[in-house]
Amino acid sequence: MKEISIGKLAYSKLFLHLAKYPQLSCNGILLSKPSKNSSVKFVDCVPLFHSSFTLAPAFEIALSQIDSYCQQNGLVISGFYHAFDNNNQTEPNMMCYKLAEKLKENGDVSFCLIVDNSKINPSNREPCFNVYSFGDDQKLKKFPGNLNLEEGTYETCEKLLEENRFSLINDFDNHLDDVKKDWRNLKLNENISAVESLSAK
Amino acid sequence: MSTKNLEKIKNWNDASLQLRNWRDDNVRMSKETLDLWTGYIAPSINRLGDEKWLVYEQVFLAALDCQNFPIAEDCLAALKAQFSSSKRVKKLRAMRFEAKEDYHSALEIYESILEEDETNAHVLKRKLVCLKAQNRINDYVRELNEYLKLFQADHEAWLELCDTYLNEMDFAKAAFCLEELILMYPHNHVYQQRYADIKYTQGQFDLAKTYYLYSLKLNPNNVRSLYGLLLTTANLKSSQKTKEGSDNTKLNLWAREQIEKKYNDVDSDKNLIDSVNSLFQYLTIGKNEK
Repeated sequence: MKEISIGKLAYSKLFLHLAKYPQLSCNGILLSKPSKNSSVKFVDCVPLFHSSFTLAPAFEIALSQIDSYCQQNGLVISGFYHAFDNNNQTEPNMMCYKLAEKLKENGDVSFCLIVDNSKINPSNREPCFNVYSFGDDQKLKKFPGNLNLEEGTYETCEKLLEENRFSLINDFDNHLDDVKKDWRNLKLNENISAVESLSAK
Repeated sequence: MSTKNLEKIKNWNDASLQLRNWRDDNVRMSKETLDLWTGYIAPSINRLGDEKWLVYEQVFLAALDCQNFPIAEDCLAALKAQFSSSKRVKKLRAMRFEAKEDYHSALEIYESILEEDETNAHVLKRKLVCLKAQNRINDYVRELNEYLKLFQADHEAWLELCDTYLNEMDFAKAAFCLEELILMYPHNHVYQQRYADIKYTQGQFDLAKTYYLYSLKLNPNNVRSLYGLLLTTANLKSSQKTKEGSDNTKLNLWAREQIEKKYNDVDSDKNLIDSVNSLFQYLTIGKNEK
């Protein structure tokens, strides 16, 4: 696999999740459309937790509901992202390894995006994470290929941050505390699309 | 100032009241605090009277959080002028070094405070945080354990130690921390539920089920406990004798009904309910009538 790409929606939601909990670790699941060729495009993401990442019950419930959501929308779970609360930690740890191993059950390879906290400034113009892949060799390795972002992604994130939209995103933790909060963030998806069309002008 | 939280603030009085509420609840709303400071409070700080010193401290900490050092310096200067020999202000000076990641200077100040006042819990905790910030997790865990020997009733510290063990995937030790918390606060449904979560993660489904039930007795609306009950009874179905088996079936069904009700009560859309139902099919034992 030579390259992976990430859509505006997936990147923006990841970004908003980080913005909502700047002092905590966050993680989430990345979804992509199944493809016959060897490239992967992350089209959506589901923010999962901002605390207690290693506890099984919430994770099993989340994964099961996300699986069902994927089936409804023709998507597959292809990886996850993790942002550490510690400013300087950029390498995946044992927890990330276990999660990558678990998600690989879905396919040939799973991806692990580790957020680099030095790159999340909204004026930044490079991806705010490093990509690792977990393949048949059971190792979590840095992904050597290209990473493409959809045009206008950074501008969209900047705008969303300016308008303080990060308070609108819901992760699975929020959902378990109050089931009214939609972990699929359908309303927010519409909001992000609205921003997209503005920045395209 | 367009955050949702600040929509209700119309004037100086609202702003100072909001700051007081955040102070009392110990909430970390750093960006909003700075917005209120620059927008309303700073121009007429003396209207606060003696409360202004608390506000200076509050804004100082918010400014450090947001790496806004000019505001931090202003607040610190005012506090130093008023309370020149205060240990509390000295601690704030050290925290400014922490914010700049100069842990060496911060620790020097903390050590000097502790020389005069060995059991100053705030400063002992700041020392711990310096270790955590430098990612020296082993040292952090060791020192946090030492701290807890002195301050056994500090529930926040127990929670922090529990979280740290969970991140290191040391579930046995994390469970121990929660046991201490449950002893101190036996009526807290969150601690019971989190303990059950850990037991489930360790594969001890029977024990997990028991604690989910305790948690639900204390708060039948705890959704995590309801899901937990569903998961544990589903996992136990294959290892049951008759009485236990039928109890598990009843609990499983009850949990399922409660969860369904929760989703219906908030008018969840069809797709979300379908997702939840597919989960039920996977986890239901006994007859599935739907």
